[in-house]
Amino acid sequence: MIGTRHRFVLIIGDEGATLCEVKGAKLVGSTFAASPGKADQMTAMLAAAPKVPVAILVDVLDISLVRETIPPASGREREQILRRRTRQAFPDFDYTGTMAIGRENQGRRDHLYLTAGAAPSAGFAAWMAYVDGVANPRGEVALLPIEAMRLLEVLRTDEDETSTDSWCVLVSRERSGGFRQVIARGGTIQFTRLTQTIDASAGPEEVAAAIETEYRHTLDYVKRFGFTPGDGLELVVVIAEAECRALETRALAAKHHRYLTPRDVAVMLGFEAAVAGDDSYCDTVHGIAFASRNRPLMALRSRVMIARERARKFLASCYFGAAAIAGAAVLYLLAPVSNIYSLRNDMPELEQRRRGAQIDLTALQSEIDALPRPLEQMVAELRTWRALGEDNTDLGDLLGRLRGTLGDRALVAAVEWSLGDNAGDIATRARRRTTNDSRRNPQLRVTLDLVGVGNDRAAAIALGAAIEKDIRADFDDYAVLIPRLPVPIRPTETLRIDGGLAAPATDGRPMSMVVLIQGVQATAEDEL
Amino acid sequence: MKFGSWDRRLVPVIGAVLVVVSAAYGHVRLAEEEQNISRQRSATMAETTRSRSAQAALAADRNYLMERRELGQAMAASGFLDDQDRLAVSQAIEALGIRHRLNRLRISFAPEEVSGDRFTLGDSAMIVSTPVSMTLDAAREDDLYGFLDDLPAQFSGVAMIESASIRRGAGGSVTKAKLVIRWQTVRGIADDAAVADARQ
Repeated sequence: MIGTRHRFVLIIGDEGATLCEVKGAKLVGSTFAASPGKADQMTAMLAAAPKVPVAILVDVLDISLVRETIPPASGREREQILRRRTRQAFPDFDYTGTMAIGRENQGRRDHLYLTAGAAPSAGFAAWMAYVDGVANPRGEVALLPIEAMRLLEVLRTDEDETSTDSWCVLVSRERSGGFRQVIARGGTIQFTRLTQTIDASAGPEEVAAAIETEYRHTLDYVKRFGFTPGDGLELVVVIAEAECRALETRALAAKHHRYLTPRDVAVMLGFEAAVAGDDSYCDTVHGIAFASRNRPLMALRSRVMIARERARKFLASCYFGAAAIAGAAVLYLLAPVSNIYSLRNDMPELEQRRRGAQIDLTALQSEIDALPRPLEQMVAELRTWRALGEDNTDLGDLLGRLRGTLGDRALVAAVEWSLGDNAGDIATRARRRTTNDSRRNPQLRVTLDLVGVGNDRAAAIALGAAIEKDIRADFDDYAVLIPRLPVPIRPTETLRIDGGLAAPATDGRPMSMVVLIQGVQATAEDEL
Repeated sequence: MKFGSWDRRLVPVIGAVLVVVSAAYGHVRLAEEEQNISRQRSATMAETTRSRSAQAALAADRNYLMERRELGQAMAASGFLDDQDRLAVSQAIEALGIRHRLNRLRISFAPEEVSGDRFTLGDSAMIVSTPVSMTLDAAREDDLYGFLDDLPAQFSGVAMIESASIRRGAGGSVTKAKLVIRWQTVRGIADDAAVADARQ
């Protein structure tokens, strides 16, 4: 995918380095320098855009590829195993990288990785030091043969490129390195070769002969990887136009041949004016192809870069943790703020209520202070007065009622009156009320002398019964008992008769009866 | 990517630490403030409740008096709130006895009993209770009953016949009676102290 970003791509080879400046889908410029010491033009280009990062494509002679099989494990464990094996495979290499290339189809489906490294060399180190010396930030570091796999996806014509029997060889000529051969099978790079460049003044036939020779060597070598002449093989060569014509006359062993010029490839990539028609080198094509990608297939990292990466991750974790802690701290701070806000929110209303209550109380207090005596005392006095008035059973009233009932049928001979338990002061009676004894208990015992019955017992009994009936009717709010009748006629009493002619007419006293009137009426239950 | 100096990279971390420290300090201060406001709020609410309760209690008592104003006036008119005047009462009873043609009338005022029962009167007043014993003879029982009817009205405050024993003489000649009357009034605590001082 072609982006719009601006970046430099530096292709470093054993013969020098080529710098390409790519901005979006446009090649701004490119320049070649044989060594950092002769890179003035390159330095000027970089200085013109000091904030643009410099990505590096490594195309040195000693590039090693190793396939690794990692047993199924978690991502972190696989990463650790891979890092350990990479260190073992490339102990002296400064720059190494890894790339997942799939999984085994059978068995436990192990993970397949491609590890690669660029051997340290004086030229490579000098160019890396050169990049570190400029103001531009350093971008990704990648291997040109690995990244050429993407170019190969565009250039090859065999549709079944993912078939394991599908072989493909890409040959390109770089000014910075020489002839780069990338041999892929099933869409995965198998190995790569760099053959020494030939003299720039060599003619097309010489170049074609050199390519043919190296290609034959490659075919011999690729048999070690299981290639058989019956397998399909596509050959893609990117060289100058004249060299393509010269190569077409040679019968190179391949199922498909495709000879392209760097300009053809640039046009296919969408960079119409990036490469001149007579340009025989492919550095710029690799540069723009790499620049048009967001990220490399395999990023090389040095031990220093790994350490810096770890430091960056650690710092990012610190930042994240710090941000989280700061956020939590803010939330921690907001909790009491919220509480205080809600508490303060209704404080004015509470204060207003308090003042209102205080004002009402003061007004009422002023009203009460104007009373002649303390309010509590006045209430107590009134309650006491009410209680006394309710409980006061008057003897005079009772006797008046009784005499009215009797009329002239009987005379009151004797009266015994007692307030009974109701006697005593109001405090005593009030205490009695608290024990649920709500009955008044005055007792009036009256002895009645019957009038007009003489010695006639039957008449006395009849009159006594009539008087009893009338008293019960008139004193239905009291308990009325008759402890003694005029004649003890009741079965539970002893009746003595003193008869005969010699018997006295009377005992000298009139027939009498005793009436007991007790107050059983419940007192008023309302408050005192 | 170029790495800057360590101090620049640590700025966010240091900032976060400062935020945390500030937040912790702020939280402590805010918690104190929250506690103060809560305390103030509780005090305000408690004071409001106390005021309202006191107001309700006073209003209830005031309303009690207002609703029974006539009863209070009757109480005051009865002399229930006044000091017991034994001489005036004895004179009134004596006059009543003469009016009802009693043959004989003996009156005995016992020492007053003072009770300050809290159930009815609380701490503000006390009851002054005086037992009054009477012995009397009447030639006619109607005179005696008339005397009994009119007797309570001769006392200030409340008087009730606590006990009575009445005997009619043979042939209705003379009726004798013995009475014990409980005479009660109230006296304020402050008034009682003044009475005690006066007696000393």
